[in-house]
Amino acid sequence: MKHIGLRKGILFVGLILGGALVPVFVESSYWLHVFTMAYFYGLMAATWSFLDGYAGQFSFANIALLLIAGYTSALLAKHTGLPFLLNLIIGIIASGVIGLFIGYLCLRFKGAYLALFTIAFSEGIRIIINTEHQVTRGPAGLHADAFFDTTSKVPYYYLIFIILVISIFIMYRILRSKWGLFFMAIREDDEVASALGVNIVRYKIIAFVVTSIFCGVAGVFYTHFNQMLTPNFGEIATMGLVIGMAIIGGVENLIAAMLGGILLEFGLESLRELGAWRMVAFGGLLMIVVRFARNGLLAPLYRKLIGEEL
Amino acid sequence: MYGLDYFFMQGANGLVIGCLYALMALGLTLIFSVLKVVNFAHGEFYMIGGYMSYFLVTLVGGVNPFLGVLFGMVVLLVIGSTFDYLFLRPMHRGEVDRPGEYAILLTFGLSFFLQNLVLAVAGPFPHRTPSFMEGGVRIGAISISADRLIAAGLALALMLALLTFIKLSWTGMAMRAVSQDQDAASVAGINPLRMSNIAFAIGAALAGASGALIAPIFGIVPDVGVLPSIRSFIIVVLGGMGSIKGAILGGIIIGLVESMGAAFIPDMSRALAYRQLYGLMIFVIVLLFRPRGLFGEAQ
Amino acid sequence: MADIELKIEGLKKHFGGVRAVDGISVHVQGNELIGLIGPNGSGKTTTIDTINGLFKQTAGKITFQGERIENMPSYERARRGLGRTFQVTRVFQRMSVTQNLMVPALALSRGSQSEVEKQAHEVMAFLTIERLADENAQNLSGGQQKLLELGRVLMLDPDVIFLDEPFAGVHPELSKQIHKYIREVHQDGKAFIIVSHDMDTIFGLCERVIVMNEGKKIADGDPEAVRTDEAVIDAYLGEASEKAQLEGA
Repeated sequence: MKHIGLRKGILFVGLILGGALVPVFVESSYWLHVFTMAYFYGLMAATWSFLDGYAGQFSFANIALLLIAGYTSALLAKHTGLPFLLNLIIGIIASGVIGLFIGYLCLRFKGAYLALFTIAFSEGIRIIINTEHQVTRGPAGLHADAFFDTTSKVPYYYLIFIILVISIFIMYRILRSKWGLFFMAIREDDEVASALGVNIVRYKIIAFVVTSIFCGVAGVFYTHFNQMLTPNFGEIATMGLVIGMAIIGGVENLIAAMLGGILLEFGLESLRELGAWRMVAFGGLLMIVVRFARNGLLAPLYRKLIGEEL
Repeated sequence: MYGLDYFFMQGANGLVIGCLYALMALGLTLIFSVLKVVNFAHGEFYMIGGYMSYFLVTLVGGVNPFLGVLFGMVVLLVIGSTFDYLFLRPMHRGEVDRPGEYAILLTFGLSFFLQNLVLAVAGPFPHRTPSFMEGGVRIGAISISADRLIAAGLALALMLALLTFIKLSWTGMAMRAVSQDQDAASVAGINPLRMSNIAFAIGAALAGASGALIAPIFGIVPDVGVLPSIRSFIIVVLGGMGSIKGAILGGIIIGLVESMGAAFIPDMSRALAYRQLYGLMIFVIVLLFRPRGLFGEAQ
Repeated sequence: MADIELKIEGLKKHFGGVRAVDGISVHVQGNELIGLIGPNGSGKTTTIDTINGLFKQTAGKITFQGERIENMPSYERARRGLGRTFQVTRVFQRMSVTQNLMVPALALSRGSQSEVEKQAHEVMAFLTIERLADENAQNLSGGQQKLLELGRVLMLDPDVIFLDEPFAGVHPELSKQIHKYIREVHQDGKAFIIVSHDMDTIFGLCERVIVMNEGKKIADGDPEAVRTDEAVIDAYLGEASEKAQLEGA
């Protein structure tokens, strides 16, 4: 394994230590909740960076895959006596499998067509979940069991924190390996990548499947943390939020995108009193970043501090 | 199950609403044709058209509702032109690596911005704009409200005006040149940046007109544009990206599909909810089997 | 080194009514150095695109090392030993020169990342672009990008290399260098098929010249024979006289 530079090592260890110590200093249940959601969005933003920033697939399907995993897990809990953990795993596998299917269909699409196709898929899933209310309880939402038998937010905090660290670690290793180079080559010019021997079919599908699995993980976490899942969560607006977070952080840098998700969720929570104006600012910020700071706000900082692209 | 009367009634409604869908889709296809941009804020342009009409007619008051539509269009001309000028120029100039994605992200950000701006300013509650004209028309078993007929009629008039403009005017020809080959047009003395700006502004105005015309029928709410936005994508892909007749025909088809598709599901509540799904299914099928749509260019 | 054999039989590629490639048959054996020339629009690049798999042929057979490859995707053909460069360079813009070079070698499992990185440095040294190792490809000059494309296809280590206009838009010094690199790699046992408008270089470099016109092969032989071939002169003169007519009109 390639030797990790000192500065990067310090950053990672710092983040992990800092994260591990948060509940020691933060006692407010409210803020622990915010941290938890921030890590959740950090994970989602990172998965989007993985699929679009690195592999070049502009897909709106991530949020639908999250819904699929969450609803599968919650419905299994409701209708079968299967062990809790098994429900989660099946939920994640479900989104992985659907992700594989979508990835296969998306082989023929690029750019705007890929975006539109995945929007159609996402909207379709949302509409079906919304309409089949006999099964899914429709817009009212489906209740899901909690992970832990306690009102404290601390175990949830550590759960998402560990999930985040492990997920980022796995994605980081993949992106630093030759797979990462293949993804980037596909992003840059998939015809040329193919002419140079890269099995673009295999790697595009792998990118989708890996992303789907992590979206599934995020999905089952969210469902059993929130103890409720509604089809509204799968609206394009939510996907847009995740995309915006990744872009503002820096979509072509996994860590920057993740931090973008975390910090922006904090920002949005802190400015709660401003109501809808927060999202106005978010939309404006997204436009300004895309127009004037295409690499995102955090990625150039990362590059400067660490000296590497990832 | 359903009588023939019901089908005719739904069909007539479908045709009428289809004209309005077509008008909005026409704006989207024009923007794609000249700028090569898929505009993700199109639904919000539609929404603002409705709100501007409401603002002028109801809040300012004492104004003819038709002027509300005009006002909506003018506001959108300004918004569209300003946005293109401030944000899309680098793309027109070729300074952007992945122009497709750039445009999607920017228009997406704009849609977030506009939708929440209206939400913050006007609140989440629906509003109704006054009717153009009370009453309706009855032909046999079919009855259609005057509002719908007027809206459809004006939509057709606007589409006709646009077609005339594009085919016969100098600017229209220049826009067509840019849509076919930006560099060649530039060498021939046409300013592609200016043409793109005009096309984007007009496209936005058409969406705004559609929104303002439909407002008396369905009311307005900040996220009223979300479904029409998706519907416009469906129509434009079905008709062929960049094809004007495709947008018009596609609009009518989708209007009919949505109105009459409901008849095929016996469960009434499901039927209404699944209306959108029919369009999405057509969308997916077109994308998978004939991505260029009815009249688009082969890829 | 295995003996090279590439057989193209009756290759056609039509785009609607346009017959870009209209029945080409070529037999390549061993490490030949072939030039592919022809007037503008004669179908040279499309031929390469079809052989390499960028386009699916309308008709015809392609047999490489005894295997029928015409239904394989690009990457399968590349893996079997067919490489190519592009007329307008298509380097991976936002990846470094080193990363660009590593991709094909890693795709063909030529070693671990560090081993392949060493190979990349060797190729960079061969092409004297080592100082650009960490530069993003988009920051390179046109000529440097041409060298990078050449380096990339060398990292693929194919048996047959198609070069599409390797000398176009490149200043004479660099052109001579590329000429030299081609010669050296050819000595190593690789076959080259080079598309170029630069007649002098082609006739000076290649042992065999194929001429295309309007999608068909009109000549195939040694440079001298081709140079004096009536049909070839006609094709080029035809182009020249068409131009003259348009200018005179």
